Amino acid sequence: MGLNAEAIRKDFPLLSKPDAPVYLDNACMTLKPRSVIEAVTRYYEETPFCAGRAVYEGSLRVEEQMEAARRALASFLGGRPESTVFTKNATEAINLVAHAHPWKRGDVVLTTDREHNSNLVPWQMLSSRGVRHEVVPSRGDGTLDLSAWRDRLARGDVALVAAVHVSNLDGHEVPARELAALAHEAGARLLLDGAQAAAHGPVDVARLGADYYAVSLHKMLGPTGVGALLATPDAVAALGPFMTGGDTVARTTYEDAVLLDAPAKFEAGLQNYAGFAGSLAAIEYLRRLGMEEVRAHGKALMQRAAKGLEGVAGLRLVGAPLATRGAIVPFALEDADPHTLAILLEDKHRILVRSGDHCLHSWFNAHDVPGAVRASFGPYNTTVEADLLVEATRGILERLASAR
Amino acid sequence: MAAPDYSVLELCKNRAGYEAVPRLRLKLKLADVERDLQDAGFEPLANAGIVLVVRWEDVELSVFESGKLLFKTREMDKARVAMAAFKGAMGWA
Repeated sequence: MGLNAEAIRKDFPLLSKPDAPVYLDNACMTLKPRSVIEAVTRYYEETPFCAGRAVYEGSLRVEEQMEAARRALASFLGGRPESTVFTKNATEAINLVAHAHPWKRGDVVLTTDREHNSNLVPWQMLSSRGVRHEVVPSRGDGTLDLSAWRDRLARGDVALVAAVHVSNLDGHEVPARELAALAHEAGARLLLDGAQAAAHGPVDVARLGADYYAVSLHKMLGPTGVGALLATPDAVAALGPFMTGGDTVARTTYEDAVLLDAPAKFEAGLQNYAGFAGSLAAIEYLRRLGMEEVRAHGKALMQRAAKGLEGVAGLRLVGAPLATRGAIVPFALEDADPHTLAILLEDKHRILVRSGDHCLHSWFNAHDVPGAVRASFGPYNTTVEADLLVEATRGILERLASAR
Repeated sequence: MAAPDYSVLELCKNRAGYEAVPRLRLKLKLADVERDLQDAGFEPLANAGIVLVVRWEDVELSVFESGKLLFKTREMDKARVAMAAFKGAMGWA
C-alpha cells in the first residue's frame, strides 16, 4: 500500500502552517516530524546531561538513549552496533576513513565521475600521503560502466573504491553489490556514500557488501549534526585513530594513552545527545512509513515531475535514465539562469528548490553544464506539488522567454 | 519608501555570483525600478515583468519584485560596488 502523503503532512509542523511552502529540497535536508522535534526538546527539558561520565540517573538515561539510537540505526541499515560510529554527518564519516585508513604510498582510491565534493575532495587531499585518486568514467547515459571498473581494478593497486550509492545529482542508484564484488575480488575495500540512499529506500549494508557506509540523519527526517559510519568489524578495526580525547581512551598517563575499541575510539568529546534522541525518533518514524513505500512514493513523484518537465520549452532534463533513479529530478535551462528560476519559484509559488552545482562542481565542469535546478521529493510531497512544479516552471520560463 | 535592510551578500554556490535578500519582502514595481536604474546609469538588458536584468559596469544584476538581487560576478568587491550603485539609484543609500 502506498504512502498517504496528506496524512503524513500533518506530522510536520512546517507543512501544517497556512503558508506552508512546497518543499522540494529534500536531497539537501528533509523536514522534521513532530516526534523528532519533541525528542530533541525532551532531552533539553528533562535530561540535558553528559552521557557516560557520571553516576546520576539522568546521565545513565542519556547514555542508554545514545546506545539505543546506535542500535536502531545499525538495525535500520543492516549494520552492527559495535562498528557503527557516530559522526556529525556523512562528510565527517568519509573523512574519518580518509584520515584513519592505513594508507601505503602508491595506494589508489577510485571514485565514480559523479561524486559529491564530500566523497571527492577527501581522496584528492591524500596526494600529500602518496595516495592517488582516480575517476572511473561512467557510460554516456550516466550509468556505471562495470567493465571499466573491472579493467581498472585488475591492475591490483586499488586500496579503496569510494562510490556514491544514490547520486545527489539525479537519484541514480549504482549497482552497489556488483561494485562490492569487483572491489573485493581486487583486494580493495568499498566505501559507499549513502547520504541519499539511506533516506530514499531500504538499505542493507551487509547485503550490499560495503565495508564502509556513510549516512547523514538530517536527510532521514532526523536532526542536523548527526551522521554515522557503519563498517564491518574487520574494516573498522583496520582504522587508526581519527580525533582523540575525552571518551576515546581507557587510560592515560602523562606519557601515553590506551585507546578504547570502536566505536568509542572515534567519538571524541561530548556528543550530540539531543541529536541522538531525535535520530532515534526519526528512525522509528521511517520504520513506520516503510522504506519500500518511501522509495516507491519518491520514484513516482520524480517520474511524474520529469515527464511533465520534458514538455516544457527551454529546459532539458539532466541525469541517468529515469528507470535507474529515485526521488530527484534535475534540469538545466537553455536561456535562463538556474538561480533566477529558483528565486521566482519561491517568490511566485512558494516552491523551494535547489539551484546551482549541488556540490557536484566536478560533474558540471566536466559536462560543461552551467548549473541546474533540482527538485527532490520526500514522503510528505504530493502529486499536486509535483504538478505545481511543472506548471510554475512552464509559466516562468514562458515569461522569461517573452522578454528576450 | 524607507531604505530596506538587506542581508549580507551571500555567495551562491556556483558560478552565478552573489545574492542579496531584503530582510522584509518588498513589492517593487519593476517598470519604475528600471526607469530609476536607467537614470542612474545602469544599462537595461531585459524586463520580463517578474525580473529585471540590468548591467552595472561588468556586473549583470537581476532585480526581483520581492527585492531580491542576484549579482553575476565572481568578485565580491564588484558585487558590493554594484549593490551600492543600486541602493543609490533607488534612493536607499
